[in-house]
Amino acid sequence: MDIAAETPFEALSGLIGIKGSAAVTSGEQREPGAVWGALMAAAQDGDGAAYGRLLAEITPMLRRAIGRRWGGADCEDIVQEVLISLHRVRHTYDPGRPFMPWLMAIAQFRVADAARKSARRTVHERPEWSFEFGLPDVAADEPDEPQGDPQLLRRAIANLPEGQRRAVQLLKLEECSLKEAAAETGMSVGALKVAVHRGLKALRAAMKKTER
Amino acid sequence: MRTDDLILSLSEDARPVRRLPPPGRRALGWFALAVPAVAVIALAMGLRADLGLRMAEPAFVIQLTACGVTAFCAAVAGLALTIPGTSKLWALLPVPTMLVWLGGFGRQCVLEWLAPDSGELLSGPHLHCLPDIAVITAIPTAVLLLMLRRGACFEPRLPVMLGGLAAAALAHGGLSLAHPEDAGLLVLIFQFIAIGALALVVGSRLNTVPKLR
Repeated sequence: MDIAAETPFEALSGLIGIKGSAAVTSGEQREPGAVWGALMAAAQDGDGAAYGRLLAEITPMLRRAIGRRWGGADCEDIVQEVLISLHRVRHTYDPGRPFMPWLMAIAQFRVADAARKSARRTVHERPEWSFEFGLPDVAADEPDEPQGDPQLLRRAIANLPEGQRRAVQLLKLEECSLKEAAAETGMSVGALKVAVHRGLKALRAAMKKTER
Repeated sequence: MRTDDLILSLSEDARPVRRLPPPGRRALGWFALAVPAVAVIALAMGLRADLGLRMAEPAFVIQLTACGVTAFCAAVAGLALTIPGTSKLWALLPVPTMLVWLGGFGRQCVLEWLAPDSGELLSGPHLHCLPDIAVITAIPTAVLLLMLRRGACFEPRLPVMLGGLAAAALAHGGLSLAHPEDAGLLVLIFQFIAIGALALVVGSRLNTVPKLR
């Protein structure tokens, strides 16, 4: 996407093809950049005709240059954004300096901006999340283990030692925080973590045994 | 909207614009405004009692000069980077004098480490200087940020950081005329935090280039 890296824009000159074909003034053959610079200077002084001519002449070149880098369907949108940006910052152009690096820096920024926006869209607008495919059930956890018999699970929990049973009940069934569970049981946070870990391990073993 | 229609509407809106002067001239304008402001604030704080003695020390004069040159170069670089097509290498412009300026801290640290009784920098930050730092950095920073905003801040963070550096260097120069303690490190830390936060939060909003509707 680094358009300006090709300064002094040999690639673009190549893209323009016939040097100065669009920017020949009264038989005088000049570099398009120089003519466009003069038109831009006139535009800064309020010459609407010169400005219109400048924008009309640079648009096909921008379209080709951006299309080559971007290639997306919204290429024309980026061209328009470049033109609007150029309009808004036209006071920053110095007629004593080359026009093309100034213009292509604006184009480069707009292409990079479009790439950023496109990347964001790709992340946030995955097709499987669109209405056509139904809304994602983000709240539901994917079950990584087959659902067992709830009666058996209840019985297995009841058979756990008191500390483990309280820890599993508070932290996993009632979804209390460790702090709340510690206040409830009088156990330390560390002891609660150990108890819930051992409790879950014991439950898993108990459920496996009953499945067999 | 069709591109041809857009071109027509833009060319109809081709009012004359005031061209941005070259960055060097704009930085001189900033200097002409900020230096007197900093000098007046330093005078209002009261010049340090040993200023005459310090001005006789070459190291002090060199550091003061480095502050001024760093401020000017950082302002030029920051303002230059708001013009589309300007090379990012401009950001390196203030680096040589900044090294001289920062080298002054290093030298003073070493001297104080060798003679701990006269410690200024190593005795910890002079937090009572913070209000003075905030006052003396405010005007140069605000003026330069407004000037940066007039350019085309496509990528505003680097110009904002350079603007912050320029204001910090100028403020340190002013403070070293008023404060007996060297508050340079605190000025840098203060500006680093303030401008860093500004560059992160407000920096992207300095972007003057509109989005397409």
